[in-house]
Amino acid sequence: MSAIVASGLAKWYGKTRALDDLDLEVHPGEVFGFLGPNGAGKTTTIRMLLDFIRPTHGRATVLGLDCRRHSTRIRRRVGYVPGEFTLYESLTGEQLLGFLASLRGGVDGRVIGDLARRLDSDLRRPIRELSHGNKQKICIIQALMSRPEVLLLDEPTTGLDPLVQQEFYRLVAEVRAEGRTVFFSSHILSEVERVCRRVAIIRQGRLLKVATVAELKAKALRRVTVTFAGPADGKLLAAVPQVRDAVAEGNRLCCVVQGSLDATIKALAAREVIDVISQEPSLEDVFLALYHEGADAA
Amino acid sequence: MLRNVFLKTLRDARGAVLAWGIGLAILAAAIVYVFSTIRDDASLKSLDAVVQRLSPIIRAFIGSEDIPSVTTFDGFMRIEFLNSLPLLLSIFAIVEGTAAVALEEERRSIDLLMAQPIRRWRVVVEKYAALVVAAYAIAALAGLGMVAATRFVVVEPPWYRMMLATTQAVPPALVVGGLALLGSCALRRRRSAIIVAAVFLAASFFLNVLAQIAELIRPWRKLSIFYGYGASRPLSGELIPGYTWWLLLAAVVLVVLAVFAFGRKELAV
Ligand SMILES: Nc1ncnc2c1ncn2[C@@H]1O[C@H](COP(=O)(O)OP(=O)(O)OP(=O)(O)O)[C@@H](O)[C@H]1O
Ligand SMILES: [Mg+2]
Repeated sequence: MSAIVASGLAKWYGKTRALDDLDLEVHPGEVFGFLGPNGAGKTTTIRMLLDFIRPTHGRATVLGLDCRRHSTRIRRRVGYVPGEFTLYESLTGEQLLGFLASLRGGVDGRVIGDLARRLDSDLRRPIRELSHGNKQKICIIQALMSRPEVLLLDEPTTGLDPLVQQEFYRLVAEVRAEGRTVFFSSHILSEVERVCRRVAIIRQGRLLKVATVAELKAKALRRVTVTFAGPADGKLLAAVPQVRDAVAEGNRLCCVVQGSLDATIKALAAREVIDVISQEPSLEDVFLALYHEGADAA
Repeated sequence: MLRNVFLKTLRDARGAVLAWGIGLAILAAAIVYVFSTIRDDASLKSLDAVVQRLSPIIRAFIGSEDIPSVTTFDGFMRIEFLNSLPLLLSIFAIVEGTAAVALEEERRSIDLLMAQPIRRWRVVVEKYAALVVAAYAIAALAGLGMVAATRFVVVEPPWYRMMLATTQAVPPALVVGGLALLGSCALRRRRSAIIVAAVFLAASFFLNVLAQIAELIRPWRKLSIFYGYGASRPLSGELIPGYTWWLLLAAVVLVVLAVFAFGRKELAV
């Protein structure tokens, strides 16, 4: 049985398309990335899975249960980190987690203590005194504390400092290792690459592609800047099929490489190279690659 | 203390309950004291005559049309304090009732609450139950203020009559609270819910007043939530028959509608 299935899922606000005709299947025990720029429809999708908003068309199931009809049963087995939220400011972290835990019929206090230690979260302070990142930690603890079978994470690392982010990725990896499922929405490619194996890419409410991270990277365009000991030759890389838009400027050569850098590096080997800077492909670069692919296919 | 939505809501309301309750208790005590200082005064004796000479619309406004004599403890407390209690409690109910769902949406705290395995109807019912308990707590505190003050001035009604008299002012507020809750569940903004409930409150108040003087709408007075209490003699334990039941029935209907509305609602972010 699939962990999450969306079939023809769509949400329209009047004439505004928030999500259209989404078909998706997330397998149990995988960390599935849900990648898209602002306004792509990520939050809309996740909130439909939780029955906060209702699909205009189509349906979705979580753990084989229909999102509309069995919402309470789903929520008992799902943990959720909202993309935007406010905590009850008058409570302390401990009180808030205790309250939410009792709505779940109780949670092992040791799990909470352990998560708080690992994320370096002070649960005794009133929430209103906490910084944004520290509130985010409490929200993450809240989602993980009941050890749910499915985690729905809506841009969960916003506001976390790098150290805590790393710890959070480790937590996600442990969840996966235990055979539980994670649905990880993000607009940062490197993050999704780090924790997910499969990724869905959406934009403007439309699913562009479902692929493995490796496949995406193979197609991604990356910007490469090479610095030579002598003047750069603009035609040096002309024979390499992956290279486009090469521009020589003094000692430097800038270009865009699609997929693997292997052929490019080999072509450069003939010259004395001082430096090669290869930029991490951004989400936009992945989109560009996908569009190129679409254009090539047409 | 925070075992469920009911207790959480009560905890959030505790400050308001204490402020309202203590405020009304002090007011009640002060009015009892005023009565004790003027009860033997010749001027109080002539008060009835003065009230009788007021124009009917003023008498309707201050509620004296229903009151045979304002120089008795019963009459004085009704006109100075008890008659305004349903209105004051209704204002509290609007503040609390409209907060239930719409405020959580506006503050964006609803996602985290509804991510837990709790049914929507339970959220509505538990929040309303907290409102009921809070309203009765305020009324009870007001009653205690009255009882405490009468320990120093000897007046007729036994203490439990006074406690009943203030708590019997709660049912109209429960209707208003039910409507506020329905607005909170059905509308996008809390402000709209407040407006709806406040318009109903004002309409109900004026219907009760004007129906006493305008022959044309006199039969409609019974539709006002303020009629039953205003025309009863709570300190003597004489209530208009069915007074409580009709109001409680209306409140239940509104809460059922609120449950239905919240079930259909798309939670805003
Ligand atoms: N209540 C609403 N009314 C009208 N339009 C809405 C509403 N909610 C969302 N939308 C629109 O739906 C689209 C998708 O929004 P959504 O919040 O799902 O994006 P997202 O992928 O989560 O973006 P972000 O990365 O910024 O969080 C946006 O264009 C948004 O303007
Ligand atoms: Mg979002």
